Amino acid sequence: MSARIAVTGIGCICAQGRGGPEIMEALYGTPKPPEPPSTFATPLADFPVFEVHQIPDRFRGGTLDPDRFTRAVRMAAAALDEALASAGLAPETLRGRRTAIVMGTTVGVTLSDAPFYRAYAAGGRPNTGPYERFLQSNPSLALAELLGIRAMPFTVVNACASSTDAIGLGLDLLRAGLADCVLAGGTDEVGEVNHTGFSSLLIYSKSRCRPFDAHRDGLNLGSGAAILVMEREGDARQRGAKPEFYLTGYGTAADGHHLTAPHPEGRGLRRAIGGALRESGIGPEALAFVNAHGTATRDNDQVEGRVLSRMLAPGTPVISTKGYTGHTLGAAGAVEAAISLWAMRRGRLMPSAGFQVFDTECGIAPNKELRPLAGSYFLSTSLGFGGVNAALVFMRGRG
Amino acid sequence: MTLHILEWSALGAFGFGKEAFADALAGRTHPPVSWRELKGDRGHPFPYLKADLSRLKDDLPPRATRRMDVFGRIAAMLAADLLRGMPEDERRDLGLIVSTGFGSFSTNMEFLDSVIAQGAAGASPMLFSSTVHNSAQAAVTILFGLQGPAVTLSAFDSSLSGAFLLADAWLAAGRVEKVLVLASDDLPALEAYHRLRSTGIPDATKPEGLPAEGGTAFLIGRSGPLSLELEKEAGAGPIFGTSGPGVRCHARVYGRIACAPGFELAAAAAALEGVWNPGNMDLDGGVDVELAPAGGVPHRRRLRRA
Repeated sequence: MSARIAVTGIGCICAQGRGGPEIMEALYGTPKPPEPPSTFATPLADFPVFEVHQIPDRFRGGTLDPDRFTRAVRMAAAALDEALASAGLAPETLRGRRTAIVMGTTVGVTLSDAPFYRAYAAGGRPNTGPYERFLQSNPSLALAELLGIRAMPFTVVNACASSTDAIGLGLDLLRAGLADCVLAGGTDEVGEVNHTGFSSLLIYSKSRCRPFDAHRDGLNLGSGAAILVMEREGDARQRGAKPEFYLTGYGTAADGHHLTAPHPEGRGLRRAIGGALRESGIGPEALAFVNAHGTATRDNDQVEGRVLSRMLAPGTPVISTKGYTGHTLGAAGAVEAAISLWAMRRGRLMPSAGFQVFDTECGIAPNKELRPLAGSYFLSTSLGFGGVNAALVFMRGRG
Repeated sequence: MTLHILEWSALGAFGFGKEAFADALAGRTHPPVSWRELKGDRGHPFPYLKADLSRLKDDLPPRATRRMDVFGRIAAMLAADLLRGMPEDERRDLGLIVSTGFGSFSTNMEFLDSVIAQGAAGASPMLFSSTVHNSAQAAVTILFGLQGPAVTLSAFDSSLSGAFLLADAWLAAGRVEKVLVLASDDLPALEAYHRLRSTGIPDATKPEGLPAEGGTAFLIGRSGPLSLELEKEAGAGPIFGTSGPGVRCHARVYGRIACAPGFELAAAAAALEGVWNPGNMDLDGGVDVELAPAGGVPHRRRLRRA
């Protein structure tokens, strides 16, 4: 039997705050609404976003120069700082271990500086500083540089399932004995390019998104980053850590169907969820709750809702946290994993923001009230452009 | 775990497929130099090695590739080359890993062009949906009916190294029986512009220094004609890679490209299979291939006849 994989550190930054205490206080209390974009200029200001306004400008004593690193990297550094601190790990201790940095992203691997591109496209000769910042800001490579370690870099670019796959990939690296410590998660930022793009697809809501609701009218984008520290349980205990959480299963599968639309029967998603449950050695009745992808687009929620309604045990609570954070794209799976782990620790499940009216096409009624949690396991799902589907099962154990 | 290469292919300015690659390695053909006009700097011309996509229609339906960018077309052609004879049920459960330095960066810029031309409200949704870096992966899964795990990695020249480690992990975990590892890159115009501004116009007579488009494909499994083991120490045989003392580099064939280690692995496979004679080289102990960029975490694999 392969080693148990412990999650020993958690870090997150999103529109609701920085760090577990601040974020969970907002989610259990009065969460901030989406607002018109303020970190970039756009004529599409009536499409609101969940932005991160305050990003720390320092990491482990060094300065995070905004001319050198993108917002995506600086947010990831903030999440990493919290994750390492909560794991009780100093970066120096990673130097002697085979460390893999596995980061999911979408915008983090492309140029988001539209003014620079405009100057270039107009035939000008703009300074290449913004392009060099792009080259220096590949998330996994940049975090290795900030940590000052030679880590195995994996930047997973699987659209909106990127960080769920990143965490799953970390699980496989640890189980295969290819790494001793994995820093896995995701980071993404809202900018002019993706904001304009999602608006062009006509799937963007002008108010807070309403996942799985009968009257849902599209998504809100959000910025954010989250990172988990993962180790084999034995290694973690050997260094004195007392693991509270475990990643017990991962499933991933392609639809092989369409570039943007999910398979109508959720073929890949069913396979991914089934794989994650099977690896965990549990049935759906063992799940305390599900944090669904739930983007609030017509297609996603319809397909995902149908799959969940068929696969889950009756009464299993389902939430989508995108009404709190927005759709953080390549960071979404990691942000949702972090929030869900903290909810397990506190034993309380927040309402699924934005859901009011049951939709028979979805077939699920997400959680509407703050409620106590019973059980040890939860499931987190992600779907993405390109027909990608990924699912993770986590367990809360005894510390 | 020891990986095995069941089949491989390569595509670049030199042509498409094993034979074209072997001919270029042997010096029987030379990759032609192409020129492109950059939008910036008043349309400055820039030399590069353009991928030969002339055989695109041989294996792929034109409707399926009409809107694909170069990054996707390279990946799709390479996938077609290796999956051509594979039964449908075997393809369904195949794992797919695409590694890329720049992914769909060029399509991102094309989308921005549409925003500049039409305004934000008139931006092209068709282009935007292809700006995700896993667009090539998606195209391959749809074209060939792949329903297994599929992931795209993009960390410049560290991407391919990660792809092989992931293939290791998937096989060890029993997620798949076989994995198709694709590497694909076009040359984004902004990358060319950056090189122009930072190091000047490249010497068009030296293909090894020219930015390039292209890719490689490896069908990986647990058993096959060539074994590919992780090695900590260098062996007694030749070392193929992109830089370093005693390392043989074949960039004159494929140019400067993020997936260069893939071409070096392909060159090693060509030598061991006998489709290319590398000359006075003892291949009995296999060929060491450096898959990670210099300065990164060492990732050496020994390719030898199984």
